Amino acid sequence: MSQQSASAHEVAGHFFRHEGAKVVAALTAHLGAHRLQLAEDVVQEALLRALQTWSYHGVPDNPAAWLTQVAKNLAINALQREQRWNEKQDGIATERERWLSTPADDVTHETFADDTLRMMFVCFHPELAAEAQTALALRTLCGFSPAEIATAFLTSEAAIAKRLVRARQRIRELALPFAVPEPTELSSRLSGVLHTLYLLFNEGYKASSGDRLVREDLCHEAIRLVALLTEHPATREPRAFALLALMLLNAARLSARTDDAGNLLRLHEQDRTDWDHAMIQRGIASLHLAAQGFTLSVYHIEASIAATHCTAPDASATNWPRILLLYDQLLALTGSPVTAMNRAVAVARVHGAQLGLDALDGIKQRTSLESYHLYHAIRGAFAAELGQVAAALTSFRQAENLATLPAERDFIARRIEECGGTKA
Amino acid sequence: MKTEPTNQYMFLVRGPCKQGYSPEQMQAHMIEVYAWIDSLTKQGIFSAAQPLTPEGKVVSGGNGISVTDGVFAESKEAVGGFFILNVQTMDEAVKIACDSPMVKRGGQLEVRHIAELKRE
Repeated sequence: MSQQSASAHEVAGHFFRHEGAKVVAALTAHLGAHRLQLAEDVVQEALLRALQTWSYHGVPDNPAAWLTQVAKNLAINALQREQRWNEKQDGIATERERWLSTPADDVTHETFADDTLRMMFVCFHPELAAEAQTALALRTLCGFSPAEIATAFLTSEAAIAKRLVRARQRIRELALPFAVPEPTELSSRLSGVLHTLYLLFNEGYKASSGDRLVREDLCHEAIRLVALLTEHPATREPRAFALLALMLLNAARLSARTDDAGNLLRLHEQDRTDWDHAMIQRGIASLHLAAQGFTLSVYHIEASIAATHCTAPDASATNWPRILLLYDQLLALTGSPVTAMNRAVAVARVHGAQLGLDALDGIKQRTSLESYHLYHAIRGAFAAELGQVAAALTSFRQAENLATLPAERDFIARRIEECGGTKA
Repeated sequence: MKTEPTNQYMFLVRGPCKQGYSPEQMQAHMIEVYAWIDSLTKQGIFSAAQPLTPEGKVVSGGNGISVTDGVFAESKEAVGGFFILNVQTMDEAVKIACDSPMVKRGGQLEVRHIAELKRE
């Protein structure tokens, strides 16, 4: 029992979450994607048994093998209860039985990496709705419970549970293979995977609401999964490195975005010593790896913008002309009004607030921005800089009406006070 | 030959084994148990602990002998393991049980005084 403290150390980080997810992937590799639910159930039970056993005596020498073995045994029991198991002893069933009965300590890191990659291509299959993809990924690849996913997406546990059931059902109906797509298909499928991970990251990165730790967890899980893609020979493409860089360079500044009271801080108000400089270094290194190759993805440009902010020693030293240039490129690629809005901020930093306002007025699909609180907040900031107090107050009040999160409303209320206005 | 109380108490642990526990919650609970054991060890209270596997058989006599599978794995009534602690009084043992992470998370501890057989 003297080993207790050492044992506790062994299960640091998110051991239960991530080891559990690995075993789900390994089981699904041998049982088939249609048995995802069974794999998840036996792994949940295996984790529960780990909790009950390890709590007394500490963690076994090879905890991952222990978990896999218990999950395999539970899977055999469950399959033997199914009649078909004994009736159809064809080649596949025999092979499956052989694997399930083999001791679990022969599992290599490479096998786990392969299985996890295959699981990613199942979870992020284009035939599944985007929200089903992210929920399924958090459940099976990241080991979140439905309740934890519900907290992250500000919805009910029942809604998430339903979403998961439907997703698994869809996997069975479509008989999705547990495999990495063929080379001809891989490129477009990888685009989908990267895009969903990008959305997952943004979900966590969005202005603080709900549980901040849960949201940061989402960001770190998205980073972990993209990092897996950059480590696997089949998917280590420049755009994957670019997305990883983008995530790291933004996540590094997460904790500096709010002050101790939870107030949102603007870039120039943030304490840059609070930024995670080790993560920034990782991001810059990843951006260098992304530069190999001839494609320039949206992720490359967004990562470069983030890198420009991260490498400025203070706000006044920010290379805004470079950021404006990057926004020009990004706008040419996406044509999105939100990109055009962000570009206007860079315009104002380089050429002054009046040209920033002109840039906002010049956005073609401006109507789609009218319902976005940030659009009005930016207009208000430009007007305030130009000394147009009345116009600034009008814009800030519109922004205040449209903002939904308390932290956002407080942020805008502070801008109104700065203009000499009173709280609405 | 007579039995006398020792200064040892046994905690029989039931739960918490909620199916809805997330892996993260399980890990958090395990770390809490380790911290609890560490603190008992430092105070010289901890003596031994052992988990029980959920598999088992029930062997009964009476009208012949019957051997049945227990429903241990599914049952919340099943004992998941035990602790033996060096404690002087039942009050003290109960106080320690109240402070345990198992009880705080909704599990149950049966606190029993261990009897000792003395030969004179």
